[in-house]
Amino acid sequence: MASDILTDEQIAVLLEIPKHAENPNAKARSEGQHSRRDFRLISTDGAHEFALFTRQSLLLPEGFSAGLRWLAKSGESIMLMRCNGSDHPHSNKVEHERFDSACHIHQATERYLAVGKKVEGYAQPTKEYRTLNGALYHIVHQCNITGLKTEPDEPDLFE
Amino acid sequence: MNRICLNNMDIQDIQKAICSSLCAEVRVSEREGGLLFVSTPFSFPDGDAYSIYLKQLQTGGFRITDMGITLMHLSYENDIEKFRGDGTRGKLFRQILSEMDLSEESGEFYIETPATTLGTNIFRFGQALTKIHDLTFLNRLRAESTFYEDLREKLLGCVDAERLKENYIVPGVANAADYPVDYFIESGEQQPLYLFGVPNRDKARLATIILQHLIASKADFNSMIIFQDMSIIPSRDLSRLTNAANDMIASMDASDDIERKLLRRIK
Repeated sequence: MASDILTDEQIAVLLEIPKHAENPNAKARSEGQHSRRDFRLISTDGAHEFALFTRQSLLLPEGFSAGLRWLAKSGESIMLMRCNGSDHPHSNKVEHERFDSACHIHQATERYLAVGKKVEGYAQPTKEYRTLNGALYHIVHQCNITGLKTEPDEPDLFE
Repeated sequence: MNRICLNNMDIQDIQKAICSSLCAEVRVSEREGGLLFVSTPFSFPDGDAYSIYLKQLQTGGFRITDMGITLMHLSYENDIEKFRGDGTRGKLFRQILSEMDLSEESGEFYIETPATTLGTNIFRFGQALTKIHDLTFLNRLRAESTFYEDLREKLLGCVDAERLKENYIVPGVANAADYPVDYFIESGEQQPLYLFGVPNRDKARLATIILQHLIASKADFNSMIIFQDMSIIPSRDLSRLTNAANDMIASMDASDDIERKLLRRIK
């Protein structure tokens, strides 16, 4: 299984490798109580495939997520990064730390895999974005993705 | 009545300790729209807490709701439409709703409860969301992985381990490394038996290609296909594989047939 052997170095390579959206005009569609968009990405060297997704709760404005999954050739899907909204608390189970009501960024780590936790179990609170658009902008720039039009959140004047 | 003591703590003390530690992990905070968020120790495997909200009902009592966030969370990596279908996941999904008295409306899960049983029902709600989450263990990749494990176990129940060679490269065949056989079973004086496990259409096609390559290479062998579920293989793919292989077993459930056909080929 690809996830059994993934190291921090490999994760960093997968995050940094240039990627391009194959379907930049993917339409949003409703499913349950959320709206979703799903993009297919391919690395510019053609060696790796990824899925970039957005989800926005239709009931809670602060309930959203923009995530990047690596689609390994074994058929496994590995969540490399996910930028979440502030609707729920998060606990880092290895570090025994918890934060409430803050936007946070999950990132795949070797150490979580090593102890049998979900690869993206570690997250850190962030002020880089406040909305789904801002989260998408952030992940697109952090993960070297081209072909998508995104804009950052306006600065928060009350900060 | 005598009080039972364990390491100088009596049962009352233990109960108090459990109650206070459980309560310490439960917090209620106000959110927009008259909602209350109940923070509990329940969380997804990635560390995100379950979304448990309270809405006051006009009739008194509360609606405990996830505001649709559970299915949104599961949709990051799963096709949640499978929960609506007639397949295994759909059946189990409906069974969980029924067993747990959990209501669902357009992707939002909820339980309505009087205030007097709020605590018990929040606990039940968390348990129900865990069961819903566990349906994701039934995804295709995990099912296939289990199939190959079961197949290996089944084969080892029929033949000795030293006669079973996995991912076998057939000697004397061009580009043999590109055409590996799932299992080669040594069969004494008979022709070697090459066996393939087939959990899906893609593997059916791959097994067909490998068998046709071996046949074209004039390799002398018997072949056997064991399907996870033959009925899900499209008919044209099945026809091609049927033409290429000797024996077929429709599913792993046919234990007697596997043993009978296998032993006939390798004795």
